[in-house]
Amino acid sequence: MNTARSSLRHRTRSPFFHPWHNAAITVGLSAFLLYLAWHLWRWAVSEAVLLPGRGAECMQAAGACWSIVQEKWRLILFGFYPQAELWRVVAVLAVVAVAVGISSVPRFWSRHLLTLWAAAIVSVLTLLSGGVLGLRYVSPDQWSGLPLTVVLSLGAIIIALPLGILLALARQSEIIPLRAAAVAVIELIRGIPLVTALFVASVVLPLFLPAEVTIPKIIRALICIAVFLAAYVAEAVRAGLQWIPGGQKEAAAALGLRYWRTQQLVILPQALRVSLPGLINAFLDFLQATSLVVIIGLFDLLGTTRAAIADTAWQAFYLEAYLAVAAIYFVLCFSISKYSGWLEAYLRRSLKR
Amino acid sequence: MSNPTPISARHTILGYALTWIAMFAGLFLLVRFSVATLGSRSISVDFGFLGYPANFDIGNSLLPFTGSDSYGKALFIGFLNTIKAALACIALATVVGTLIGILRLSSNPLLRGCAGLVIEVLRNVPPLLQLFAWSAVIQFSLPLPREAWEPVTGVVLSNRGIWFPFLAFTGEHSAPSLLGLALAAAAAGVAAWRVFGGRVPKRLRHLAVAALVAGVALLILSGSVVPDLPEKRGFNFRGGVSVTPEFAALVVSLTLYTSGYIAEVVRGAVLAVPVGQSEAAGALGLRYLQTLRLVVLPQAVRIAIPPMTNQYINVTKSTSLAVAVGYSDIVSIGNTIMNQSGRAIEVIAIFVAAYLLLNLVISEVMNRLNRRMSLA
Repeated sequence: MNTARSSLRHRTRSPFFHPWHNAAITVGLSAFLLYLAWHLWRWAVSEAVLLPGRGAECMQAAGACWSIVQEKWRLILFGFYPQAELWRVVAVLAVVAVAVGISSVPRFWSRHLLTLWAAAIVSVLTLLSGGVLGLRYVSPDQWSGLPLTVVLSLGAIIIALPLGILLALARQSEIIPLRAAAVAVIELIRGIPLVTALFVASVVLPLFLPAEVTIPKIIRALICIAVFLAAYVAEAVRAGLQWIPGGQKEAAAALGLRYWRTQQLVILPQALRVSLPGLINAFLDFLQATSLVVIIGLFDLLGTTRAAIADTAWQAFYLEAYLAVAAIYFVLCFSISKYSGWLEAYLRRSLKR
Repeated sequence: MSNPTPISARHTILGYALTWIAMFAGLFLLVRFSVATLGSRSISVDFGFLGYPANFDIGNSLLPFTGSDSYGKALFIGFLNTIKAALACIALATVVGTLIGILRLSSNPLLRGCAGLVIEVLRNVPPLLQLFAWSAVIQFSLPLPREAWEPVTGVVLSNRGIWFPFLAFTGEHSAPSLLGLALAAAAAGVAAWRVFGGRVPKRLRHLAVAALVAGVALLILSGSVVPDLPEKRGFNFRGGVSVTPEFAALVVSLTLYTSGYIAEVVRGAVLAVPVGQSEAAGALGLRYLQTLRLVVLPQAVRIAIPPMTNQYINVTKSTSLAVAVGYSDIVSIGNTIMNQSGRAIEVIAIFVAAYLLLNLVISEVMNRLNRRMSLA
């Protein structure tokens, strides 16, 4: 009786203070966190130039200068897109947000999503580049900021998905030369850094194109990132394919289904479900990696931030700008990774049934 | 692969023939097309340019290099710099990541939560943004060498570089110093034997550690090796070892970014060891740290090796971000050469070969480690 009670008490004791070393850790860490929070508060709030503020005050302030965000947010978010047409990029972001939002709810997963995405892609491209429906034409060289980050990462995954699925199927194929070629392509791409692909996009690709064909650098970068991502997609899909029991394929063959019908009706619908979390993680990596386009002189969200602090008047406040942009990336990436974790648990539950 | 049924066998033969034809046709067309377009621009693929003089200097070289040295040598120095940065990142990220991963497993919710927050922040901010931020912090927030900051004696921080204390040979030898050198060499020999797959009995291992300690002590006491502290000379520092601001920014940012991932690997590996194992160890009377050292960690390491290999390969590839801050790794030197000589195709081919080589080496080393650790 006595032991039972003591073990119950042991279990309900606060882990913050028991055993004794946890109490020491809690006290020490709290003190450190308070110290940190106090300094952060002083820098970011009490001694900072808060919004709305004037840039001139920043020279006297001991803390942060958030005026740079107020002054440069348009440049950072939308880059060099024509000022008069900014509603179009806002609309693009809204369309993408709605499409992504709807697609992320498992209840809405059906063939209609393909229609939705086709419509989303058409409207995004129409809005961004214009030239039709009375919209002014905006050359891809002017696409920058958050819309460019979104277009590059989503565009890459949209192109990479079919490519990567084909690569994964080729890697699982019974035709040995095809399998060998797929393995070679996948391992080659996964072995080299993305920067190499971007150099291919900016320097090598134009050499292979006929002189009369010029493709904007953004599109070239998009193609190279997409091909690169396809290898990672193939690996994620392969994990799903390997999860499918061999009996599925045999059952489909017994029903008289040919290879492509089997893949389309039996294998892929199951395999893609299983590989979804892996696919989302690959997408997440590439959402961060699109920032590398800065190296070949494109202005994605990170590039426009660099442009904002290249202004000598605001150079001293680089940390505030980087923190603001890091917060945007963090919110995007963190919510995607949390969603991926939730989806993994959800799929595990639904597959058990 | 399942046994082919007659239907799929027929498919396979047809598929084989079609695939071979399609692949050869595709390759043929690609080569024809490339040769035609490259030819029309009078571009040829030729590695002869590697012997031409580079006409640029490398700020961060492990070997002596001047402008009259060849492009080939410049690329080789870049390759060495890539290896240097990769090794530094791998070593530091393993230590920092393991530490954060262990804190993430603490029984104290506050500590656990803080470690989790740190991991999420490190993982969810793009590495290039972290690199730019650290680079700017070093450039703008660290003092000039004139008023350099010395938090600990011998460690000097400035915006021109960071200096650490090191050991220097004075060049004078005596009997005790030679004995020390011999002891240290013997210890190194034992270590090398073990690294290359030899079996070392426990007693010999302890002996080797003792020999190393005694050897180093003899070398220092005899005055043949002296500590070398950085000292201010004119506008800069001399002595010790120094790292450039670009190198420091690259290593700090990639270390932190990778640590977030390694922490999750470590946490996952420790959690993957069944609870029954530590409960059984507890029942046998082992203390907490003993359980960790003798039961949990040896099993966790086995689980962690494959994902760690991935992280090491990733961070090695990520050192190519150096081009964004001007650390002379193979990519940034290659970039300069591409701009100067226009030899883009050849330089990219060299990049591919270099990174594939590094990947193979890392995988091979980790595979050996895996075999050594496995129970069989």
